[in-house]
Amino acid sequence: MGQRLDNATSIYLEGIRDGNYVEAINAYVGQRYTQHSTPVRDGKDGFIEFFDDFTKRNPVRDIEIIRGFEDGHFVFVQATQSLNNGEFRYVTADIFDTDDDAKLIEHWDMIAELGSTGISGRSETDGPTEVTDLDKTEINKRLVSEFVTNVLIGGNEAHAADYLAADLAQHDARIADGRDAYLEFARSHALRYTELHNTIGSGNFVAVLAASELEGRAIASIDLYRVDNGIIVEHWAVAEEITDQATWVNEGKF
Amino acid sequence: MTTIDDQPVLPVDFDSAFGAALPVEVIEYTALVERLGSRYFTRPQRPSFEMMIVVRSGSGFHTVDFQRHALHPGRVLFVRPGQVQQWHVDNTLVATIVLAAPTVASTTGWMPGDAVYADLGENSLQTAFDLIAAIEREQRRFIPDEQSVRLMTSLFTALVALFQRASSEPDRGALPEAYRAFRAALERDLTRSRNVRDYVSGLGYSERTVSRACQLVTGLTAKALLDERLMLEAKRLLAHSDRTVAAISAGLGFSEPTNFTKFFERVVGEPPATFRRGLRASGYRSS
Repeated sequence: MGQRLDNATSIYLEGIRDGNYVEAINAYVGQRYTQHSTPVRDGKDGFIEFFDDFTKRNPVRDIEIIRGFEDGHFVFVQATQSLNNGEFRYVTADIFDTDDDAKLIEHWDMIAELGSTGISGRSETDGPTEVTDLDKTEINKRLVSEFVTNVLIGGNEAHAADYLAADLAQHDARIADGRDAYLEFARSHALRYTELHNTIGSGNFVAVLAASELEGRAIASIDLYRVDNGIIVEHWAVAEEITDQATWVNEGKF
Repeated sequence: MTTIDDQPVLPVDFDSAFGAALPVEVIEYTALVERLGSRYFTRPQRPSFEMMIVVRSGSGFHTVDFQRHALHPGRVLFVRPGQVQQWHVDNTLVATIVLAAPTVASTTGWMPGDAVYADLGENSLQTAFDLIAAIEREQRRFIPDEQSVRLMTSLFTALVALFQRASSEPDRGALPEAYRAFRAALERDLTRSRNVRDYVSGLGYSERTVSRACQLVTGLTAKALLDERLMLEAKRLLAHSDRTVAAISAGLGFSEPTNFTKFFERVVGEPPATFRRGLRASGYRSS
């Protein structure tokens, strides 16, 4: 799509998958690298230190980029990792910020174990990948951020039908298809979003970095929504429980 | 009626140590804080000059129009006349501030919705430092003649161009003319009407064309954009002025303060008085 997305996917593929993480970080990262992946220190050194160890622990690394887009200076990437021939399988969602040389300068990420097929019968990554409706980027971003603000944060369930299709395609493995199943899951698990940190989009796809609470536990997530004709029709999510601050080596998830 | 919450407006005007004729001034962040004293920064301000903060090292925050922005090395913040800013003087950073007098600022053309910050890459940042060094050199030997003023103004204009190139949205293309015309009309006539038609008439575009252009750029209809812009003005006045809610309501063209209060609550999410109290309570602190 553009140099920014290329640089982000190159960090994954040339850097982490192929093991050239020192060359990749020097080639694709700018004057700072502010890190929100809590086990990784800020800066190029922090990245190298983490992946020195990571690549030793995981000598076989298969990484596939599933979706990606740019929005201004921000980049979104959704990927899967299979480590050591399937010993560990993960789904990841990343947001990068870039400088005016298109170099990466800040990174937020979520990682979760890749389960088997979800309740809806869908996987955590399948479904459309093509970015369309580029002229609707801002309208769709506005729709999704209003949905998050009014329904997920504000708790106005009655307004959910303004934003969510009744037959919503659900990729969160814990939830069945449909608007009602989404709302019912939120109710029965005391899921309440607390803060929307960033909304980035490209055409029919909108990604949201947000904080939430699930059954009293603090959660960080990157949700991806697909919008069609002014309504949200599909949802993917990668969420992490926020660990105790004592375990972080940087300023935290947001 | 004036309440205890209402404090006098802070007189924030371009007040250079080098005298009124200096059109652009470079000063270190810590030196500015020291010059004005930390007490000065406890209230939100609405300056009449343009201001850039260029961060060299360290980190911190600066709040512009009620949005808190992180400060990082290589990041440039551009605060423009009319915007309300709040300082976080507990920042630990090395940064250079460039101030431009209103006479200079008026030449750069500003529209709401423009980016507040840009992250400069290695090359752009070097250019920024070179321009700042040149302004500093010229300010030390400044004499208030026409050519010296033009020289410093041009250096600042170059810095603005560098900022705008870095902050513009890649691949977005130019903004639609109907949107630009509507935004300009909003800025010019903001408090005169709450009806989109009054702003659109005379622009040479239909209401529908303007609204579609607004949605394309911002995701908001022309009416929603007008409402949001009006409430930004209300927030700015609540933050920096000592006018009562009733006076602000009248000034923005509302016939009844209760209508204003309801309208503000719908768009902003809380009543005006609560918004003002929250701002005073939070002060300038980062937390």
